[in-house]
Parts: sequence; C-alpha cells; structure tokens
Amino acid sequence: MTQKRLSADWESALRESGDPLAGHDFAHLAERLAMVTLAGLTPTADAEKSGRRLGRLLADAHFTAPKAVGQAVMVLARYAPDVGDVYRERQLVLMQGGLAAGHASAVQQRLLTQQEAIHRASSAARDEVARALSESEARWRRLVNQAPVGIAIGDTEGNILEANASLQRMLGFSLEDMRGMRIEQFTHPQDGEDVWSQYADLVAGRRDEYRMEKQYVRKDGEVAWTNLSVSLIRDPDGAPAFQVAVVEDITERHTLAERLQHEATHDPLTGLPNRVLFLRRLDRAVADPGPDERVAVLFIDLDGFKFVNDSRGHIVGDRVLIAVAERLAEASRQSGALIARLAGDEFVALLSGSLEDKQPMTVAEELLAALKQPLKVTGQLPVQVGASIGVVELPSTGANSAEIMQAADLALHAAKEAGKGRVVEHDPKRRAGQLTKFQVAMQLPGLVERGELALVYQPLVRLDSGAVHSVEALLRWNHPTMGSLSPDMFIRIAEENAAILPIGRWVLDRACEDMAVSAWPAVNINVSVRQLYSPQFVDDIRRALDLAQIDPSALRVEITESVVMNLDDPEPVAVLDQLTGLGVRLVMDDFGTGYSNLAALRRLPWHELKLAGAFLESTRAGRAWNPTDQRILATLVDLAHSIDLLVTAEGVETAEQDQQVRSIGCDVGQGWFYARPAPVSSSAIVVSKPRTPPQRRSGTAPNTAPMNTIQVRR
Amino acid sequence: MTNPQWVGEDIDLTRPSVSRMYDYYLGGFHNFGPDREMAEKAISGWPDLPLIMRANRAFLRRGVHFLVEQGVRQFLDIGSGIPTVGNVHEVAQEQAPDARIVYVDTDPVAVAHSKQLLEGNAGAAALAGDFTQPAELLTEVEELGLLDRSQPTAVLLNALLHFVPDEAEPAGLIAAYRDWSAPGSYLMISHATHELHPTEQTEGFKELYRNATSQMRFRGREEVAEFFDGYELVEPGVELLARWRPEPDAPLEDAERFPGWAGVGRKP
Repeated sequence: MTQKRLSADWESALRESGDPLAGHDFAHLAERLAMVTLAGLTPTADAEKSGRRLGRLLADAHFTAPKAVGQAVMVLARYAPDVGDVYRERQLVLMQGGLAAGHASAVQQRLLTQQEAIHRASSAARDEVARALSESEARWRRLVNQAPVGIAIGDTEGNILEANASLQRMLGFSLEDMRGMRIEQFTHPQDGEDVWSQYADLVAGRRDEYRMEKQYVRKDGEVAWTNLSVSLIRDPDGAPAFQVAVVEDITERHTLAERLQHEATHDPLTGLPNRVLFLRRLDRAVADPGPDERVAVLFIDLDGFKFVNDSRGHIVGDRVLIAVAERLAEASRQSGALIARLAGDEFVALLSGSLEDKQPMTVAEELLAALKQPLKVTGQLPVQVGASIGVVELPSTGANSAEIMQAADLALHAAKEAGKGRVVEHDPKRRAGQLTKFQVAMQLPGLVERGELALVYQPLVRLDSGAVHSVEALLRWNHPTMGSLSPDMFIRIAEENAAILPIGRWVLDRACEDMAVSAWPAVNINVSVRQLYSPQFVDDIRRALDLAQIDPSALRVEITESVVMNLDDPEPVAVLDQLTGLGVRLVMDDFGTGYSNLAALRRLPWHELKLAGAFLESTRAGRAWNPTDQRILATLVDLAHSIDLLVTAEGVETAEQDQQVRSIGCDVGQGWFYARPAPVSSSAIVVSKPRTPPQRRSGTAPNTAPMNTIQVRR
Repeated sequence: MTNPQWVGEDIDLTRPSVSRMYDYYLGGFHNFGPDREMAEKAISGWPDLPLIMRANRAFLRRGVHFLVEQGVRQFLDIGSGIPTVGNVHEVAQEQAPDARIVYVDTDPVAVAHSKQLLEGNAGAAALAGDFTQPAELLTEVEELGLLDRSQPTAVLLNALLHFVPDEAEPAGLIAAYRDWSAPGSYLMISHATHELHPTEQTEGFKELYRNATSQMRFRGREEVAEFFDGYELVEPGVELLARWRPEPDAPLEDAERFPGWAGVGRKP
C-alpha cells in the first residue's frame, strides 16, 4: 500500500467522522497522518508512541467521537495486509493500541478543558446575572428609598421587614422601630371593620390587593392620613409570601378637605353643625331606621334675642349666640343630642334611636333650664336669655324630614304663643291651624294687594279720668285658611325682607283713614327700623296726613326702645326730627326692657313713653312687685315725668295690675283690663271704666268688667 | 454594562439547553448532564440527528463562503449557540480577515462562553439577546459598534426559526431585521421540516423539546420561502440542506436524510 493510498484512506475516514465546519482541510491532515503512520512502522521506530501521536492529532483536530477512533483503527487494519511481516504486524498492533490510548487521553484532556470552560462560562454567566441583579437591586433600592410614597414590605405573619425613608418620615418611626413592630400595631381607632377584614383576606391569599384611605398614629401621636394600597406577593407555588404596602401621605389634602367639609357643614360663628349637616343627619336618621327607632327634633328659639342684638349691638349679640351654643352643647352632652344652629337665634337638637332613656321632652326641659342660667359673655355683664322650644317626636319609620321640621316649627310657634320660656310638644291636631315660618315667608309678598291685612285698635286709657287717650293700631293678617294671625307671627319675618315696607305704608294709610272717620283723640302706629331708613318715609307720612286730613298731632309713631338705642346713624335720627317737625308725636315703646340709655331720651324729641309689658309679666300670677322693682319703676316714671313725658303701662290684664301701675304713677293704661283690640268697623270699642279699688277676680277675665262704649262715626 | 434583556433570567443548568444539546450532537463537551441526557433521547428516536446537524453545519459553512464571495463583511448570527469547533467567524475571517461577526444568543451560558472564546478577536463579539425582540436586540448591536448599519449585513438564522412559534409572528420579526439592514444585505435561513419524515418521528421530536428551554415548530418549504419576503432568493432558492450549492464532489443521494430547508436571500 502506497503512502498515497494510505493518505486517501485517512482522508475518507476523516470526512466520515469530522465536523464539516472545522476540519475543512482534510487532505492536509490525512497526509500528515499517513506520514506519521509510515514513520511509526519503520523497524527502529516506537510504534506505540507514533500511535499515541496519531490519536492526539485526531483528537486535536476535533475528531473526538468514538466513531473517529474506530475509523482510525480500521485505517491501520486495512494497511496491515500489505505489511506481511511479523515484526511489523506487532508494530502495527502497538500503533493501534497507542492510537486508542493517545486518542482517549487527548479526548479526556479536551473533555476536561471544555468542561472547565463551560463551567467557567456558566459561572461567568451566573456572576453576570448576579451582578446585574445586584445592580438592578441597588437601583430598585435607591428608587424605593427615594420614592416620595411610603413603601413597606411585610411577611404574611404581620411582621414588617422593610420600610423606605418616606414611610419612616411619614409615620415618624425608624426602620429599626418598624422592624420590631407588627402590622396590627398600626390599627387606628377610626379604622372601619373592613380595614382588617381586607387585611386578613390578603394575608390568607383570598385577595391579591386592597386600597383604602386609612389613618395612622405617628410616633409623636399625631395622625397621618394615607392612601393605602397593599398587594400580595405569592411564592412560585402561589402561596402568600409577602405583602407590599404603598402608602401615600394625604394628611394635608385630607385636613384641607376636612376643613372645607367642616366649613360647609358648620356654623362659622358657634362652630355648631349647620342646617346642611343637621338636615343630612335627620335624613339619615329617617332613611333606614331600625324597627323601634324614634326620631325627635327640638326646635329652640331664643326669646328676646332680637332685643339683645338691637340694644347691645351685633358684636354682643354674636357673643351671646356663642355662649348659647356652648351652653346647649354642654347641656346636650348627656343625652347625646346633636345641636345645630339653623339661623340667627334658631337652634335645633336632634335625637334618634330608641329614645328610651332620653325622653325628648325631658331633654328639652334640661336645655331650657340650662339656658335660664345667666350667660357669661366676654367683656359684658352676664346676660340672661330665655328660649322657647318646640318638640316633635315620632317613629323613624315612615317619617319625613321636611314634615318633621314643619311640625317642630309649629310646636315652637305654639310655645311662643303660649307665652315664651316654654316647651311645647307638637300636637298633630293643632297643625291645621298654624303656619310655619316658611309658609309665612312664602305668602308675605302681595299681602297688601290681596287685601288680607286688617287693623284692630286698642284704646289707651287715661288712668285719672278713664277717658280714651289714644288708640293703638294693631295689625292682623286675615289668612284665608288660618284665620286671623297676630303680628308676632309674621312681622319679624317681614322685617327680614323688604315686605315690611308696603305693610308699614298700608298701616299708616289705613290708620290715618280710620282716624279721620273716628272720634279718637289720636292713633298710635308702630314703625319698624327699616321704615326709618326708607327715604320715602317722611313723604309717606305727610301724604297720609294730607289725604286723611287729620292733624299731625293726632298721629303717634311708636318706636321700640331697643331700636332707638341703636340709632347711631344720623339718617333715622334726622327722620325722627323731621316727623316731630311735622307735628307728629313720638312714643318710645317697650321702655325699660333694655339697658335704657337715658341720654337717648334727651337726644330725641319724645312725647310719650310706654313701659314694657314685660314688667307686668312677673305679676301675672297675682303677685305684687317686690319692693326693689317697684322703687326702680317708680323712679323711672318719675324721671320720665321730670322731662315731661307721659307714661303708659302696657299689658294690664287684671285689676291688681291696674292698681300696681297706678301706684308707680303711670298716666295711661293699655290692656285687656281696659279694652280688647277691636276692628274699627265694629259698632263699638269698649273701654272699661276705671274703678278703684277693683274687685279681686280670678285669672284673666277682664271683659266681664263693666264697659264704656265709644261710638264710632262712620 | 448590564443587559436588560436577560437580567434576572434563570441560569438553570438542570434544564436542557438547545445550544448545549447542539454542542453535544457535534461531539463537543460544552454541555451538562441534562443536555446530554436529552440529546441522547433525541438521537435514540432519530439516529440521523448528528448527521442532520452536520448537514446543517456544512450548509452554514458553504453559505458563509458564498456570502463572503458576494462581498459581505458583516455577519449577525442570531441563535448562534455554543461556538463548539470552528465557527462563522473562523470560516469568514479565514477568507476575509476584515469580516466582523456578532453572535447573539439567549442562553447566558453560551454567551459567556462565546465571550471567553472571542477574547482578543477585534472582529467578533457575542451578546445576549432575543430574536423575538428585534428593537432591543438591534439597539444593542448598534451600541456594540462592530457592525455598520449602512453596510450590507448578513443575518444568519440557522436552525433558529423552528424554535420560534407562530404566535411570535416570525415573519414580522424577520421584517424588522430586514428593514434595519442596508440594501445589499442578506438573509440566511436553515429550518427543520416535517415534510420528509413520518409524522410520529417529528411529533416525538417536538414532544421531546417541550421540556427544553425552546420548543419546536416544523415548517414546510412554502412557509420557509415566505420568510424571504422582501428578499430575492439566490440560486437554488429554498432547497434541502444538502442540496443547497453542494461541494462539487459531495454525494447527494442521501440528501433527503437531512430534513431541513435552507436558503439565502438578498435584499435589493
């Protein structure tokens, strides 16, 4: 076998077992293998060593597969028949052995090297991943730590594992603090039940996240409001592993929202809930009540507050309201009633629930009693205000907020009617006969045009002679369904809007007309402060006098003392001056109820003075004045006399009272004891003859006294 | 520089890797027990496998030669696997020492190994990347600075696309690489097919790969031809591996033993 053939044989063996991409130069390698083979077979050669070399050459050229060894041994075996020599045959066997050993050892070496390489590669890859991970983790950590929201990680046992800087700042706890804490420790008393049930669901794996607004108590005890969002992280098997909380601090926003909400639902003056909040609570109380639940509304209206306001100014008035609010809030603490301020001096209390141990009437009496104690008002002497309370109580089921309020209003009105300082429970039967303030306000416009107004006249009687001194025009509203309504029910409301002006003008005109056709010496009309501010008022008076053709001195304008005391503005004072300039006489009404500024008596050209009926209220039950009161009143009357003012006593209902007002020197008396108000169209106005001493009569039945008759010419 | 495409990817040596199995088929030792175990299973089900691999390697070699002859000096070999013995850069650089090659593989071990092998070779680099994320992959390639986008580049997708399922829309992915390439660039594909063999065999094979890092999708000749959309197929078009521009003296009677389609296209 020639070297050329051997070489070709090697080459075909190589092609059979080599990698086509690497061993592309098979011919060259085959030639080398043939040369090594031949050289190894020379007599002096070390055949085994040559065999090893062949094996190594093959392995190094990447003929590593077992098949390659087989192919190589076959090449050598195929060469053998041509050798024909025992010695050389032995050489050949040695060479085959060497080849196998050499190949195996080279493959082994290669294998070790490659295994080492792939392991190195895999660990390099792992390192790279680890480095990338740790870089990524560092990045995340930085991000998490610098995030403006609080982030915390906890296990499902409730232990806090990590918390970022924002959360530490937000709650005031350090990471060490928090790592020692359990999530349950962040319970806030205001947490709803759902807070912790959602939490329990999350750690149990029943839900994957929840969001809510939640408050936390900071380490310093302050409250932090947050938007909390908690997510569950599961392990690869889906079992709950960690929880991640993202916590956004919304304290500022919340405080603002709370303040706005508070402002929208609270009265800025007293801090009490306002009408909005009260009605909301009332609506809620009747919206979805339990079977035995009841609801009660106590409508509280101060008695004589307008007087305080008018006589002592709005600043004091406001302070009184603040004091009243505090008093009511304090007094309602035990019953748990919600106290709200509806408007002006109107307050309201709401009770709801079983109401077994807080009877509304009892609560109302408690509130009333609390208000009877003098109020401490900053910078002022203690102030005493009374109140009237209307109470309505009914089962919550089927109740309607608007109807409840209307009923409470009616009850309040009944309380006022009954003489103030009282609690009156709503009587559904009374309802038909009464009007609510709301209804009144709705019906005021057009009152004059509809012709529903009427005047009645009550004489003022000279106590010495029994002659009629004058008559006071008293306004009545002949309501189409409610019958005759007294001014108490609507004048105050009319004063709150411009409705008083047309009413006042009508009163003036009608009184003058009636004066013209009657035999009265004079007529008194009441004028409100709004009228004094009206630019047309003097003209109106002048025109009315002209039309009726009556002497100006027969018209007497009554102005409440409290109004007068507050007349700091020059305009209304000038108006009063103009009136007296016309010859109209000025009467100060309700004198003595306020802190009468005696100086004001001199500032304006008064002609007469009417002592407030309130002085007689304390004597209504038949008691005499106590000596001190009596002396003070006598002094007042003296004082009035000393500046030539005539003094009238109002509200005289009994013979005892008649005696009393005489005893302090009053000149004129007015009241049921002498005569009831009557319309001018009636055939007569009756006046009782002054009798001394009157017989003792029980209660208030003054009209049983003998009457004189005044004929009205018409 | 970290590679965001495979950060955090598990290097799980207990799962067989396609690239390390390939190495084993070719007689390399860059593999681990699980790789060998599965490769052996594959071979026992289809004893011709090593031959098929060889046929593929032979096609690769002929293809790279052809491309260098066409003047291509830039190669982007995606799914290159473990650079067992010899490799594209050796074939190309032997012929054209200025040839530049970028190897891309998803297997971090293969990439790490390639990096070790390519140390000191200024014309070749390896990076980790995913064929199915062309935008990211090409960005990385450009950042590497080895290939000039304005020059023709051959994108080599050897024995890769049968690991890309239809849901990944391989045609669209290929289009992304095509659009990235300069005119005069080439696309080279070899792809396993079920068209020449009994269904049981290919199905069994597919089943086997189900547990590996990649799963198989055999495709027919037409489907492979469609991958050359936007390219002009060079002669002889999409052909059996062994029949694609064979060596003059190569035996062709066994060509159908090697069930893979091969083709090279030129972007006009």
